[in-house]
Amino acid sequence: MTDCSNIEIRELLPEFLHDLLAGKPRARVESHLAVCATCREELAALQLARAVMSSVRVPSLDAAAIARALPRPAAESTLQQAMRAAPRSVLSSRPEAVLRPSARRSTSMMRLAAAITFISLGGISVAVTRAYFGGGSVPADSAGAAMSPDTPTVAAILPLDSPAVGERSGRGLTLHASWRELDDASLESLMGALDELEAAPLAEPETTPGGRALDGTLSGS
Amino acid sequence: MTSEISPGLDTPDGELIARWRAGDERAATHLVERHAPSVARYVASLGSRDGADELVQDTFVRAFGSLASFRGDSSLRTWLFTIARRLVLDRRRAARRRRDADDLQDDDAVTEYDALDGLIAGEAHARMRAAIERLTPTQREVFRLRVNDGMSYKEIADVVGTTEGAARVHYHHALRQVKETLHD
Repeated sequence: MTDCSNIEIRELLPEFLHDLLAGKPRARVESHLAVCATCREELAALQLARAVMSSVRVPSLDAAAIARALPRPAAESTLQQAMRAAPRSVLSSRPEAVLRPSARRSTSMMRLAAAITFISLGGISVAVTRAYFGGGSVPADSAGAAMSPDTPTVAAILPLDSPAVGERSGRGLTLHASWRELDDASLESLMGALDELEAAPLAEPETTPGGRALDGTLSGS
Repeated sequence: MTSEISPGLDTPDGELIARWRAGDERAATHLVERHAPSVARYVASLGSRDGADELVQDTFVRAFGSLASFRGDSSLRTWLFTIARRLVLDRRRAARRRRDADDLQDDDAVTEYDALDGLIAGEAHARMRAAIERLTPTQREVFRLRVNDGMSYKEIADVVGTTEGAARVHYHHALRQVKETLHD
């Protein structure tokens, strides 16, 4: 058997079968079918195939039961609806214009909470630092300065006759231009102080002194 | 906000989805009534007659559970068919692990039709049925989506996970074989 050479019409036959064509494409197919027995035969085969395939026995379906089993629609918040409804230009230039007053309050509260948290953590850090170094000022040989052997410390920045340079009374540490200049005893003392600082309990109340977390997992030794 | 106007038969899928998102559960029922039969036939055509109703329900549950990610690039029907096919294959893989069966093998061909169809169909139906059953699983699936469901090659490619060109080739090979079988 031969196929019609008009592949364009043949490609449209399934759409014609499902009545999906309109206008000129439909008219073209109809006029072609009027003169092409091969395509009429192919269309008849497609109709028969559709009839056979649609006769596949399927279980009866309870649409209402299926609909009841569906998840509940996640209703959009008023804010989401406003964001969806607002033009993109408005959203990009003046986002507050589409926010409800309560939404603006919510954003402000979150910013305030973040600021309070930041200030609190800073205060805790200062308090812990003071507690371990015993002075009112930040120690010159901080962990940050000890990161690199060539990193200049406060002594390298301040004039040598500055009051800030010299013997520290808190832990017996001496300021140097670099930690490489520390003798073994001073370095050991510094490392001990850093270890104590790292081990200081800042905000982990759920961990017992033995290092075992309350949920039973080991959090450290 | 729920519309007071009941959705009709001509209400587009997109509008029904929007109504369901707004809390109108009747819209979901309309969508299920509209698409469940074709999804069920497709599932059955893939050889999953047993538990087809459960598969159809799972298809809709999954589809509606992730409607937020449905961007409307494809039709809802194409999306449902894609999910249904995935569920069928998942179930097939689970079964294969138990009984070492293969995906979409020839013995998965649909062989059950309405008893009434068998009585009234006559020889033409029987020959066509035999011709379709002789197709390879992929040819049969593509042929079915194109002829029975009226999908475009693009939609078929989305459902089956192939290219439009490959879908076109499978369709024409299937059509040629069906016509040859009918004329044997």
